[in-house]
Amino acid sequence: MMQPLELLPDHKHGLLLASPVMAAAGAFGYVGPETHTTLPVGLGAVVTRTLTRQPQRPAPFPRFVETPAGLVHRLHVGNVGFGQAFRQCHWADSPVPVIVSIAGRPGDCAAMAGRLDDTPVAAGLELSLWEFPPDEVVDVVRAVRDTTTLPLLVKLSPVPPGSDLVYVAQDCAAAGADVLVIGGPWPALAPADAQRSELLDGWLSGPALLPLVLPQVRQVAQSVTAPVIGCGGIHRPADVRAYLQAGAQAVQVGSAFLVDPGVAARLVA
Amino acid sequence: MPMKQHWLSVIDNRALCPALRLLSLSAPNLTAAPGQFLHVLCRDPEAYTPFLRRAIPIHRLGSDRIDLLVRPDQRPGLSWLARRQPGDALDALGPLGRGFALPDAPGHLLLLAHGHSVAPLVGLADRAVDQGWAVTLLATVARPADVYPAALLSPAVEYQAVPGDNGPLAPLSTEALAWADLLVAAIPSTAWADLRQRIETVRVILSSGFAQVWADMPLACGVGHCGACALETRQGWQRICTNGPAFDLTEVTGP
Repeated sequence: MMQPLELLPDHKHGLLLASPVMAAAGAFGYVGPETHTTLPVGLGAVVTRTLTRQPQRPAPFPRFVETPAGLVHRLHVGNVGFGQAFRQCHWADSPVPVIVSIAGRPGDCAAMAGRLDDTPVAAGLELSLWEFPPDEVVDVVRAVRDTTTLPLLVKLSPVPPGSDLVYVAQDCAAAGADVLVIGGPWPALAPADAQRSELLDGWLSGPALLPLVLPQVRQVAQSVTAPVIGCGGIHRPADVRAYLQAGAQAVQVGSAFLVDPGVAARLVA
Repeated sequence: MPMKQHWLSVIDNRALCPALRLLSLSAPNLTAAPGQFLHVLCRDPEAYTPFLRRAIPIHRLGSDRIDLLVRPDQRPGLSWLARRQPGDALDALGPLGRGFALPDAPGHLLLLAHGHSVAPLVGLADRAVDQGWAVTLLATVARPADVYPAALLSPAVEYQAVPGDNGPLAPLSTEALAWADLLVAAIPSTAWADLRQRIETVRVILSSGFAQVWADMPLACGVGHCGACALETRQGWQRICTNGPAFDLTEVTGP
């Protein structure tokens, strides 16, 4: 059985995880009341679906296409907007610590972070900034850090556009990120249908991702003092161990929950 | 295992026609409604491809069994499912989703199917006949050899299968639409707008409660978490997997 882990022992609030295995952004939707009773025992924390200040429409169909050992999906599944989720989800009642994932420009992210800081319902905040150029990512981190004392996780694409991952990670840590989450989907392009008449421009998720993200996690873990969380392709206990061996202190699991709601019990055993 | 995840044993597997197989599962403790589905892992657990589960509509319900209609060539993974033999166990989530709404007061029920999409309608026909409804099933199929066998339907169901590829609305006559008190269609979502227009042409207005559609889109998680199946409706974005797959035709505005 995996042991509890204090990820931020020197932080004002700390970030105590029941295990190093977390649910990645969106694996359990917004983590609303209907989800609280079904959250798997043993999860260290659960990250909400990424929220923006204003509601966002989902991408048009098709939203995903299966590929060998995974799927390529469009990034935007849509969201109801931060305000509605904040009012309706009762995150403080969740039996598993909730980390709220947000995205947007510096001002929007700071506004959302401020609201969370005023009303202590979340164990932390995760910035999901895959699409932003690295200099804007750092601006967002700085703006949010100035607004909240909550543990601040920053999720970075394993292949940030136009920049070296290590430099971006170091800059984010210097700007106030408490934890760096490395991983999530990988930029990808795949035939959208059996007729191969259209290409789906999206992101690869699933087991195929693990060997791609693992070296990125190791590289960052060797270059920053902040804790690193690895995310990508985790489906088996050996996958968790691989990330921990590569230098991650915890992991986030996403696509495995698409196919096996019971996977958490096996991963934390 | 979390609630609703089951290992269901295959008790029978037989060919209905060259394109369709009927898979019977032992399900003594499950209750389900017509229009719901099982989310089935269609691969060996150790394999990773095809990655996602398959939403298989519940074809027929018995007191201790559930029948699934499988078209092996429809999507990757279904040929694997079609090869399961008695004694094999399936990893299934469900029954999931919201099924069809069948009013208590019986009347005339018109069912419209396209190809293998007859699957979710047969269980509804069974229930409607039991409740005293007069039921007509109109189905289009690509080839005569793929026609769903009439012998498997209740004798009370009037059944017309139309081979050929003239579109999913081809068998829908003015007389049939005028006759119906309730229409349930399992047709591609690309035909929903035409169906709406056809109904309005014959009946002047499309009233809430007159027509339901079964949304047959690929699902990802199947339990409402991922949002990949969000469908635009008059009530806002609704998830096919939990708010559907059965929707009132007046409600859906997308895709």
